[in-house]
Amino acid sequence: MRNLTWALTLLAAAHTAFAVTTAPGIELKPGSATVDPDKTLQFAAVLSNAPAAKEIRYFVNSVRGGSATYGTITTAGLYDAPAVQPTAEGKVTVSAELWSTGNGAKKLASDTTVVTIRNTAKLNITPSYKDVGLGASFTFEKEVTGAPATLFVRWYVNNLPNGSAAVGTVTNAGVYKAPMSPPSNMKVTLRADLLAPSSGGSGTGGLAARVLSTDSSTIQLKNTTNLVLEPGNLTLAPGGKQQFTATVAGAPAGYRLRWSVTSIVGGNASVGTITTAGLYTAPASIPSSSPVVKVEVLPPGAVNTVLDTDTTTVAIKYAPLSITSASPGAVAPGAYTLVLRGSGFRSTTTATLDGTAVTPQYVSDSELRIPGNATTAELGSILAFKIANPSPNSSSAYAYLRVRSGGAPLLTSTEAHRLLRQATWGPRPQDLDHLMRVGKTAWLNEQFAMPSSTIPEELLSKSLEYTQEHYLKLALENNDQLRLRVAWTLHKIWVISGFDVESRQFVPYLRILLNRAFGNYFDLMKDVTLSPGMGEYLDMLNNKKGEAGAMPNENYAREINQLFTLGLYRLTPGGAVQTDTLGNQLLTYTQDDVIEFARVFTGWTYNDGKAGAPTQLQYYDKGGPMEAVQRYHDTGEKRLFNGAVLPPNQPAEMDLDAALRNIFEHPNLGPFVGKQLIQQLVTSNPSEAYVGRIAAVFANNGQGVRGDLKAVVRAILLDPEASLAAPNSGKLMEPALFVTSIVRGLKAPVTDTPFLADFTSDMGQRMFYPPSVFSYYSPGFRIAGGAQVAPEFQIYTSVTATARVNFAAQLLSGEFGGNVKVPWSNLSALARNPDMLMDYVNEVFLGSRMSPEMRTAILQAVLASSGDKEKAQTALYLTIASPQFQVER
Amino acid sequence: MRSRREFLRKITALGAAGAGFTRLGSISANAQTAGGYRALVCVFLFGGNDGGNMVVPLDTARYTQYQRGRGGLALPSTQLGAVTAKAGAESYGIHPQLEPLRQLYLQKRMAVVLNVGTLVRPVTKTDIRNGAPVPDNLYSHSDQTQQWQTSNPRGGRTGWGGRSADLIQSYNTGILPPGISVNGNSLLLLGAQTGGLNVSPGSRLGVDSFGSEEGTQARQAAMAQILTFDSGVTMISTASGVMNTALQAAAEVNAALNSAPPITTVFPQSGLGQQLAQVAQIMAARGSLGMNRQIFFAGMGGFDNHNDLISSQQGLYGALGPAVAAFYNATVELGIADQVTTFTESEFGRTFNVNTGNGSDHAWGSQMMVVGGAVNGGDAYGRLPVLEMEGPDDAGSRGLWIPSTALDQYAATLAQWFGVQPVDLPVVFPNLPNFAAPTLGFL
Repeated sequence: MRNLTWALTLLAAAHTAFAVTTAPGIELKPGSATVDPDKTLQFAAVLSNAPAAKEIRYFVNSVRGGSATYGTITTAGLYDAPAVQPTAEGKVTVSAELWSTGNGAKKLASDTTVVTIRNTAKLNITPSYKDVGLGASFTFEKEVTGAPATLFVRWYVNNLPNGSAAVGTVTNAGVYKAPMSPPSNMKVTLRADLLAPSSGGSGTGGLAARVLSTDSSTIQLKNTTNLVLEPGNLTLAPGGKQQFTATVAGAPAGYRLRWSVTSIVGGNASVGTITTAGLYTAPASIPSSSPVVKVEVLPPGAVNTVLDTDTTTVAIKYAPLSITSASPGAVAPGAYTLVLRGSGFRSTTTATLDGTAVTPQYVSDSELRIPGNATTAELGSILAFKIANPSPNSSSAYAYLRVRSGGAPLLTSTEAHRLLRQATWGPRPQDLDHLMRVGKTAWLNEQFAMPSSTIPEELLSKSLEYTQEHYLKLALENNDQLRLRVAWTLHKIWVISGFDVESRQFVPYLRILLNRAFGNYFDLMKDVTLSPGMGEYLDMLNNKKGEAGAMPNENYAREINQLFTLGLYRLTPGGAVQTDTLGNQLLTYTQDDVIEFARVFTGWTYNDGKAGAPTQLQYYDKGGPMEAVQRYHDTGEKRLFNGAVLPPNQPAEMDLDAALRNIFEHPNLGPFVGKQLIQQLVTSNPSEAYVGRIAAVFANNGQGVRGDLKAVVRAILLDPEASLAAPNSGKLMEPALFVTSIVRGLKAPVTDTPFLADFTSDMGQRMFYPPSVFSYYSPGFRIAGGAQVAPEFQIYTSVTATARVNFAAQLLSGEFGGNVKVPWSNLSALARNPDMLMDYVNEVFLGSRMSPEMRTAILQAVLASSGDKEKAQTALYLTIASPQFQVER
Repeated sequence: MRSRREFLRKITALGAAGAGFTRLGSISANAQTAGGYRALVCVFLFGGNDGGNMVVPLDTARYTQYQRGRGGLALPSTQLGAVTAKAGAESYGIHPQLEPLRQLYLQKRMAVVLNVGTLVRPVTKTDIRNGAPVPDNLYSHSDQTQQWQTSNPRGGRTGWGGRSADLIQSYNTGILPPGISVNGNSLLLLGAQTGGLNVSPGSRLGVDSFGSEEGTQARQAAMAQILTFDSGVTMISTASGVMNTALQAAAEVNAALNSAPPITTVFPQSGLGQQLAQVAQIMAARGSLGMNRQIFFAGMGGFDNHNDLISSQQGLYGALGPAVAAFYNATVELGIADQVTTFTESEFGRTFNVNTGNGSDHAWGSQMMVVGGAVNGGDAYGRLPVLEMEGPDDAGSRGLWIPSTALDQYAATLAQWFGVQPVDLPVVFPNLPNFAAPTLGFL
């Protein structure tokens, strides 16, 4: 504070010093000023000590009267500011000089004032933000205020005057043209500078021109190119071609497309090639990875700049196999060529038939040929070929070929199926085919002419279960089916059982049944009667005449009449029980008759293996029919049927022969035996007429011979009633036939037969081990409150019925392993076509008689099953387990 | 021989039949009061049991007749297990191999019924000569086996057990039929309304499944459907009915058997022993099965001894006695000894007269045994024939005894104890009114 006071004092002192002079003076007022361009300012010159002749001269920046650039000033001191701030500071010096006038005029004094001219110029460009597509133009508007509109405006892009090709150009008129290629920064800045006029310049100003005002806009460059490559996904076979199309929108004019495959422009042999027109050619072999076809949009002339790109990954795969036709649909045994048409065949395509490779002939990708040779064993079967392409792109398809005999069938499959169920151990496909072609009569003649299966000698000394196994094997595999079936049937009538009889006696008995199956019933009666097996089983062996109060054993005498030949009641020729006028059933024989016949059957013993009759009862079987020891034979008179009398003192052989003949001639024999054979082979409830027709053939085969089993069997099977499917016709399949029918129908080789015999036991029928002389089941067993005879139902219980169903389940589900070789590969292939599968199963197991409702139910389950094999399993299981299969009609 | 069946045995609860789970027989209109558990167990001796050597009179006169009549078949009296009957008025010897049953006799848990057989009405030898009706086809295995199960001397289609069960089935709340056979199909159990179920030992109910879950379900559903098809064909509908019964019973029986406490009584390994063990196991499950009245059918074969009767009987009775005794012990273990009555049947007796093969042949009346806590045991019922060939009780010449007690009476006694009302007995046994006493008093 003290220093400031001192300074003020000093200034006052100086002023005081001027005041003392008397020289003219001029003072320009105001002493300082600020003025807007183009505005006026009145100066005043305050004179002192001025002469009378005087002149005031005004200057602007030393130029008298001023200039446009810095402003003008009138002689009256009116300053007119320039239109534009003249300098960056805007300062101009206005000076006033006091001059004397006249000669010798001289400047007397001057004063100056610094005038500051403000910069009021304002440049505004619009819009301040703009999206501009690459290659597109846009005109920005400029507006100038506070300055003449004529001032020059310089435009910049990213500070480059008038921009550049890289960031876009801008004209002096503000027309921005975006670059063709995207710059590194797609956001560019447009700037405009309002330039002060350069002194003396043209008005465009130099680069150094002073900027009065500046403004900028942001330009967002946009790449609007949109490229779509079609197709967007693609699978091609090796060598395949595909024309791609690229659709471009929003690209700068003059753009260019560039095609590449897996980043190789134009591609190459290993990834495939592509033309500049987009035609792709797949490589000849499958590349390690899928080629990627790429198309790019490039700005005109660009090499590296890509506006847009699109790709399609091309899966190079072989086409899946597709078979549209296979011809022929069926062939006869012999050479064939199956021609498959479709697509996707390759030279490497393979074919298998039921799991075994066959060699196809590749013709083209749309044709494959399979040469082969159908065997007679394949008759009736559907050969299912699996056609497969190898990896990579493995695929498979199926073709089917039915093997059928040539010529028109004589029987329907239903008719053939029915007869085969009656006459064999179950229809196989080839049996159906054969029978359909040759007809019933010829088929029966073939069967009658066929040599008999044999029981090997070695089985005599093994457990009977080996014989059981052997017989099952014969039933499954041998061709003399009818003989095997009839012999089995005779076993069920002329019962002996492994519970009491060993192989040594059982095997010869079985041989008798096979030998006499198509022979004469009398011979059968005699052979079996004298067989040591029957001798043991029903006690004729070593049955001695009465002695010391003991009576001959009645067993055989009773059962041969009751069970093997005549039955309890007198029968009409039609097998009906005869009654007296009171309705009482008439008996065939009485207890007295049994005692008489028991006396006949005395004196017989094992064959002693020596010539001549033995003289002692034998207790060791040397083989051969029993022989008589006369002294144990009852030689008394015997009264037989129909008043026949055996005179006393006949040898045992004569008595036996005469007694068997006496039974053989009994009128009951034909109807009794005929009806049982019908029940065992065809139907449980034959009509009396049917039985009567058979009894007539039994009585006379047409050549006057009684008891001709071949004629009887033929008549039974050819009888019209055997072909009926009435509601009460047919019979329940016994367990042995149930098992063999399934295995035969499946064409499943069995390597372990006893194992199957175990299962018939579970089902209530242990083969060759009937529980009693009444066989496995009684021919008189009835169901439905007695309404129907249905013998096999005697052993059809909740347990055995379950055992049947479970046998089917176990067999089909593979629980028997390799013991039963079900041809799954063929059946699974059939399941590819569920309708075909159903047709086949229906034909083989039901003779094409499955009802529509049953087919629907099974097919539904088939379709719900998982995978081909289970589909086949389901179709077979439900068919086999069904009562419709088990009841043979 | 070779056992080939070491397979995985799967028992599935059968879903297919689950929806329509109904009682396997029809339900009679009048519900009755249960009144506790009672069961009959028939042991059928197939082939014709020679009762003449099973129970032998030991009083001197009749034993002498016996010895004379049977000749080579007669057993020494010293071998026979002596018992008394009729308050000591009669003495009998029981076959030595039946000693376990003789012990029950001594404990008054076993009774003997003498000379029982099929009859139309009481007959004498004279009546027969004069044409009085006798059962059809005497001496025939098949016919007499049938008649012993039907109690119908003309044959018949339904069993007396099944007909009895028809009348008492409302005692049961479970779905199983009252009759269960452990020995194959049994006519005895077949009624007009109720059938029999077969649950043989060593076998099983329940259908095996295989493959995928969805496939299994689809097959079960399809099978249930198939069992309803072709119902107009008698054999098919019958087969379907059997299978349906099996399916429905499977889950029930298997579950009950699995949940029932194990029986500690040891049974013989014989066929009959195992059958009766199975019966005992089912009885142990009676509560969870909802069974208050059951009739079981068991049996053994081999009695048709036309040859070598003596040695054969040793084996047969050696199997029969211990099996029945073990079963009785099992009922004691289960606490139902008084509620279970076991009885024998056999199609016929055998000729008193020996044949030249030291066997006996088909005849008629014979002895039966009844075992159980409810039995008025330690006694013999009925009377033996006069043991004289061609004598007053011989229907033929070799000692084919005319029964002095009818099967109808024997069976009616059992049926009445089982729950059949006296008034209903003639419904079950139409010929019963032909006999003076409808029941015999051994129960």
